Amino acid sequence: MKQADRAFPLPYYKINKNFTVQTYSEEAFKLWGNQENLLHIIDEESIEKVKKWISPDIHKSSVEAHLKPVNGGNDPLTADVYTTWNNDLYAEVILMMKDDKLNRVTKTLNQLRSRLNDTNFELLEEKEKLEEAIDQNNKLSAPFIELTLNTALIPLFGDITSDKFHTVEEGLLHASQKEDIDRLLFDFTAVGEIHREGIHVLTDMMTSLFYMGTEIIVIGVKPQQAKQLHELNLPLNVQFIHSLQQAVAKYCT
Amino acid sequence: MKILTKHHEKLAHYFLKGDEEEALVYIEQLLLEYPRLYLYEDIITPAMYFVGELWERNEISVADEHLATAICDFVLSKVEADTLSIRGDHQKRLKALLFGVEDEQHYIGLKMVAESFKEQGWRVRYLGPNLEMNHSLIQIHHYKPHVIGLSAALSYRLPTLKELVKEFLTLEWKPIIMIGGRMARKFELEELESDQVIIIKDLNHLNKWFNDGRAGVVNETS
Repeated sequence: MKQADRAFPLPYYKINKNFTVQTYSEEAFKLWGNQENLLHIIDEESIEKVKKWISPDIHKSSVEAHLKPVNGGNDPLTADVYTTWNNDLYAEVILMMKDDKLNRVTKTLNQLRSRLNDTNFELLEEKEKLEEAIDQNNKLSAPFIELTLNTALIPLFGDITSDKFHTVEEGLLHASQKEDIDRLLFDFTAVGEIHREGIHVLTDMMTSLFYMGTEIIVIGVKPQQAKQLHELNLPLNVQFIHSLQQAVAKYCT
Repeated sequence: MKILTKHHEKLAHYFLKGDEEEALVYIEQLLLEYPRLYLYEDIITPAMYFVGELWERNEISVADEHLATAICDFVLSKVEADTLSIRGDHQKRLKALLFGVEDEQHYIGLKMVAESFKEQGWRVRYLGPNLEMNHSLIQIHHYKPHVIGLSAALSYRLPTLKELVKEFLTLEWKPIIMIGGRMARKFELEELESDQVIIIKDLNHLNKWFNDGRAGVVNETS
């Protein structure tokens, strides 16, 4: 019966048309041991392909196929399978395992890709951190400071953007509902640029506060800002005072 | 098998030629005509299956397949970068973490899944293919996703997959575990399925899950 019949330098099988192994080379034995049938060493996803291309109808063929993992590996091996039929009954099959170099290139490419992915991922994490920092910064841009029992000061810091005021809106509305607070001083002294959408959110908030019965005073508006505010038609019921000093003198004595 | 439209064969042709420029132009044209889901599920996926088919027909080699995959990856990344992402207030608090199991090198499908989640306003961590189990656990504990998506193509990954699912079922915040990849189409994985474990056959299936409001069962505040 079957035996490693020659010291052939490559994995070699002689099979019949049912793929039953007749003889094999030592190299084949080293990789897959003693096999009854050639299909036993073929990866299941390649079986159809092998059946199609290794058949007495095709006298000579060369086909790429995946073979089952060997030596406890997890990945199928790729090989070129060369077949010649001696007659309708027997075929000689030689397996040329894919070059290690190709595998190395594939592996290196995979590593490069995963490194790119890691970098991408780190960037994403940094971006998320930054967004959190901006959010945190926004939250701290409009603190609510109670000056007297019924007057509170809200100094605004930085640019007036819609993101910022969406972030602080709820807290301010909530804080201004507190007991006796009925007057809010919005201090613009530390405001940088005013963005159109930002000021819309701010005026909406002021209107809400006004309906809740709060008096609204805006302090420290710079000339350039005054022009912008004018163009935006602020609600008329907002009062303006030049500086915080004047406001404190008027309301906190 | 699905009826083959010409689009995917043409696209497969560009992939195999290694012509990323033409592939991209072609995809961008298709995007004007079709929604992204259709493009992913009915053009790009069949194009890659078509590449596999050509290999079975002995017309191309494994090296050609690798090239096609690389071009497809590039095109997907480019399309992703050109898409406006949902940010800020409009982004949901829902989080998904996606990866391919250890040793698995197939990842194109997973990448499209990541995009589908993003399109729905989810926060997504896509960790790529071949992720070692310990590494995935560290990320999961750190990120606490509502959905963990696992992908595998080859049957050799089944033991790893089972082990991962078993491990993830012990997580105290009870994330939903989704299993996808070619394995989900080819093998009977029903035994793994439960209230918490879902087998996702394809992108249409995933989209149906979104549309059914099944994502609603995930508690946003957790």
